[in-house]
Amino acid sequence: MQRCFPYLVSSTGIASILFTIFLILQIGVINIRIPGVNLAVALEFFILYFLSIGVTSLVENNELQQQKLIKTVAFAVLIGSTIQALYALLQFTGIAENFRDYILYVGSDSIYAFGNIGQKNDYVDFITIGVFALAYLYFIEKINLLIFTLYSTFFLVMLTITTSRTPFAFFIAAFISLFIFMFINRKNTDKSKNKKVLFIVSFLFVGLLVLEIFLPKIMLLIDGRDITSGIFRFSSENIGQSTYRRFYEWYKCIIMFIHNPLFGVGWYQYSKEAIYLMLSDRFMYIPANSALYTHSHNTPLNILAETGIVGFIITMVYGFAFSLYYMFKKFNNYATLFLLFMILTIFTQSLFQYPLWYAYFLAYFIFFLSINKAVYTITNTRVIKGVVTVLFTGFIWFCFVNFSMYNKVMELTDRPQEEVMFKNNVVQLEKIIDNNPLWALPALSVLDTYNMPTFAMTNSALTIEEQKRYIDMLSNELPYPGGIFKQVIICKLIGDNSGAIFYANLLAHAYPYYKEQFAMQLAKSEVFKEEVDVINNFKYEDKSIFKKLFPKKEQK
Amino acid sequence: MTKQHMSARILDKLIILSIFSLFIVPLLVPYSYFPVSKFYSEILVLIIAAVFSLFSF
Repeated sequence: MQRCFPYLVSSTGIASILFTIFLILQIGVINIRIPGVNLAVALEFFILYFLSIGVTSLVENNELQQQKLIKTVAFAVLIGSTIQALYALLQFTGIAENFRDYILYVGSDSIYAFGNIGQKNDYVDFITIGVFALAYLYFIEKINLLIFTLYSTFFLVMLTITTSRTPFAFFIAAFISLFIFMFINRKNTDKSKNKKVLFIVSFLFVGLLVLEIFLPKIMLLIDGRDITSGIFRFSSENIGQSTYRRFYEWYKCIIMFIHNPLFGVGWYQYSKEAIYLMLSDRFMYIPANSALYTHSHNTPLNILAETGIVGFIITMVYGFAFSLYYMFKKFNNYATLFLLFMILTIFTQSLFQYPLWYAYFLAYFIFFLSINKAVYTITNTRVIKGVVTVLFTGFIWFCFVNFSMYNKVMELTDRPQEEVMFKNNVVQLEKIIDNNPLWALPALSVLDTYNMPTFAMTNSALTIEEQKRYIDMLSNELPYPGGIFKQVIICKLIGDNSGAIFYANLLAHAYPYYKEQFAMQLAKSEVFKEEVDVINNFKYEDKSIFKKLFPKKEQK
Repeated sequence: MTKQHMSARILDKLIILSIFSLFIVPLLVPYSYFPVSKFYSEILVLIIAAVFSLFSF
């Protein structure tokens, strides 16, 4: 692998820098309540822009270099996913309990076999990328059939144990892309290689199916554990309200986009809009759910809603779709096909969840997409080299400062019982919220544990207006039921009756799941009689299309 | 072997090392998921990405 001059920029690189600029400009164009959230994501994309240039420059517009880089990446991914799969094995067997400093351990149930990634479907995503990396190494004969079989069986067992259903979606995406590749190359491709890829993907898929069917029975015999697997979770009993609710969240994204077509509702502002839409006739009777959807569980639609057509074209059309088209146009080979399998694994999961919310998945996604031919060449390498060195130094300093800030915010999460300390912590948190945009949201979340209306220590540390200000700031960003409940109380305390009624109504519509519980709490005081009536007057009923389609299931 | 060749070879090794680190190191942090804390894993991935860029330039 050799460094090349000049520097080469792929379409993904250009999309990354354009999206960085977009996120900064969005702060000025629309009302972004906490600008630091935009700035933090813009910083991520800015760093990943340089990562992208580095990757594309290594490719040198040369097919051999491209294949060499994909081979290196395949080995790196394979090691990374092997470590995570081993961690999952230690979690599943309970051994991880002895290594809590190194391995995340919640319990030995199958749902907690998730490596250090800590979220089942994200873990499955990463392991599946490892499976395709392994498949590529077998395809290019870097490993033999025996090692491939044993290694892939281990990975597939570790996927099955999680009970996740998403690996099936990853393989469907792989098969579809493989058939398209075979169709497009039906005249000019070596047929034996096509057959080999088809054999590899089919072997993995059939292996997964067999394990999904038989592993629960084998586990029952060997270990006595009554576990299930993803394939059995496709039954109607396991597809419930959270599945149906997701489709309505996607629908909300389209509504938001229609009302804010150019720049969207603002980055990270989907959650408030989604909750407030529950007041409309169209959404007040959708399947109830206990959780706040801070993301619609569909990244392309979420981007459309939060950044409008401009952000969508930059990221999804140019950064993703065009990059894939260009990749195959310039490097129409099997290395690109296997790379596509890895890219599509992350993308497919993004259609149901949000792995790209995490910097590591975003970095992997941009890295993969940047293994491409350049669309732009930077010739003034000396200037760029100087700029990058300065930026790198600045970034390391920035990381150092932020490590300290993280530790400080973490320390403040311990709410002291002593009044002077309590006040002191509140002052420090207020300073962070007002002066440090990047840490405003985490600090607001911590301050929320101090900000308890009617609580004596809160009243001594914050005026009633300050209490309202911080409650509103957090609830307008993340309208969790507890936050809206506080808005009801604080509005009442300052004498804003219409505000209290509005939030009581919002609470009932947005979280019918909890409405009885909140009504009971408010009913303890006579002053909230009107609010309790408002909550009780909303008669929730699931009137969704799914209720009509699956009436029996909903009665359960 | 000239000095230039030497430094180019060392840089190549560092680039490969940073690629391996990118896919391995951030997920060694035991708290990578948001409800717990994604800060260390996220900042690590960005630092490694920046280091990779520096070597590549």
